[in-house]
Amino acid sequence: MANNQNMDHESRQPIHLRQIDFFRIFWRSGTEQGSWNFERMQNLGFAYIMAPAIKRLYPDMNQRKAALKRHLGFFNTAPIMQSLITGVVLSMEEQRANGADISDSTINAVKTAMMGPMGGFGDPVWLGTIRPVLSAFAASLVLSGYGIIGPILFFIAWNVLRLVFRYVTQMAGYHRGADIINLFNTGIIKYVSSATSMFGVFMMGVIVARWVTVDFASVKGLFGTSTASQIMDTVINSGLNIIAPVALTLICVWLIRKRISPIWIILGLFVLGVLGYYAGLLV
Amino acid sequence: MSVVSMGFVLLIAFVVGMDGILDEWQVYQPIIACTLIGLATGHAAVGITLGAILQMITIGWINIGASVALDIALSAVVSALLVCGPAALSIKHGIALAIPFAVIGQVLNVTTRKSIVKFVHTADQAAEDGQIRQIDRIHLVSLGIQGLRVLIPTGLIMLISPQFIHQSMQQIPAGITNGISISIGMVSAVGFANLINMMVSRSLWIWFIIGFLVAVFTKVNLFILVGLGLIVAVSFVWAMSKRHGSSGGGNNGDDLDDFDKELDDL
Repeated sequence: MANNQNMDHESRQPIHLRQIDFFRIFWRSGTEQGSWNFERMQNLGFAYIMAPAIKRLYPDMNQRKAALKRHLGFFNTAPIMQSLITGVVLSMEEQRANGADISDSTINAVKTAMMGPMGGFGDPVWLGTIRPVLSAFAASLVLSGYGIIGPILFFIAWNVLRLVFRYVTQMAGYHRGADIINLFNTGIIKYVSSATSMFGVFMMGVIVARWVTVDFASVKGLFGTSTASQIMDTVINSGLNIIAPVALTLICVWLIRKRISPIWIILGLFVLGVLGYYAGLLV
Repeated sequence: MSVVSMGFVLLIAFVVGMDGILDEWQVYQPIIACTLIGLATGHAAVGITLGAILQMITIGWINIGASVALDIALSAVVSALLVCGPAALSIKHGIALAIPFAVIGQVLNVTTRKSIVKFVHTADQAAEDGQIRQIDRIHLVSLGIQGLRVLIPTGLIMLISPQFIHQSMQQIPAGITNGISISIGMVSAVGFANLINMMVSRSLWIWFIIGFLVAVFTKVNLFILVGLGLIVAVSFVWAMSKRHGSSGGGNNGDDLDDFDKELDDL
């Protein structure tokens, strides 16, 4: 069987993916999660992205069926990082279509080997750092009176980053092929992700300080009305304003680590707000 | 609300629902979704402000791996519709109502993700028959269902008389409304806590503390802090990698070049 295939390939022109296929795949890559399901997650999405390549590379019906089935297997990674994996898989599929000895399990092994690290890298970088920082920045523009510039800036900045990154990594994956896995061993991924998480965590400290507010009623005349006690009042008030947001956030982290669902924490805070208002502690 | 506005609101709901599952264009983030609903209903300024406040609350609601977080898409659209539309609720009421709709949206999202399993089995059959077109169609129909997941509840809300919604929210005692509006500043802590829980390892807490102190004790604006954070983080890691590289020897020059390129990509 394998011999027959090789002879077929030798007797005809090599098939290459065309520029239009790369564009189609790039365009489709933005819909990867459309059919996200609890059985095989992004599997159909991946097959959908690969479809233009499968059509080009496998005119033979049996090979086409095999390719479609191959890409309907379990798949899940950080959506934006998937373009790199797609690129690598495209190069492997192209070689296979031209007779190289690449088995189903080799292709699947590469997909599986890449999706874990890419997910572990991509989610904290894109969803944990870039999006929160960009959107917090945009929201702060809105709340300081810049209006619609905030949302427009967020939309453009995110999508330019995302689209450029997707196209560049898809083509890099295609040109370097499975060798790109060696990149994981050089520590680049580790350096980039530790730089981003440092930056992300630093920004979270900034954002918590600027946005989380606990509006305590200001303390007045707790220690009488002398000048000294008035200074004490100010110290207590400003101390509370600094400590309360970070304390509240850390309590929430602790509750989340105790596996208490965020929705209960949110409802609890609503109750706290109402009770605090009636008790006159919060204004 | 005119028919044209209603049409636009439903269209936005559909697009936002699709983007909510894709997590690509970020149209479903409140800062954009509420702005769009505001534009469609002719109350853009309120929509943008609501979007910015809701954004800070939902900033840490992230779908990681196979987990499904509270739903941002439905809550942003419904909340904006109630505030910017004919029900004309106040922003604090809109935000309070966003929370229950986040839970409803989450349930609908999980249900949809389960029901799409059936579609995937149809796709297996299509692959068996080598029908690429059919696979494309199944994928896009699934995506459309995720759009309907937000469109249908939004349409149902539109059927309820806006006067009724407005009056029932007025029935709520002022004390509770005020209490809730106090809570809004605190609720964003939950999202940040979720992010921190995901991002912060033992060795990173120091960065959180530095960021917090810098923000509290300097009045520098966010733009400068972003720049500062980036420079410090990159140079710190660069210094680390250099130290690491010099002990390892070999081709660390190449590594650093690639590393810089990678950083530029980001």
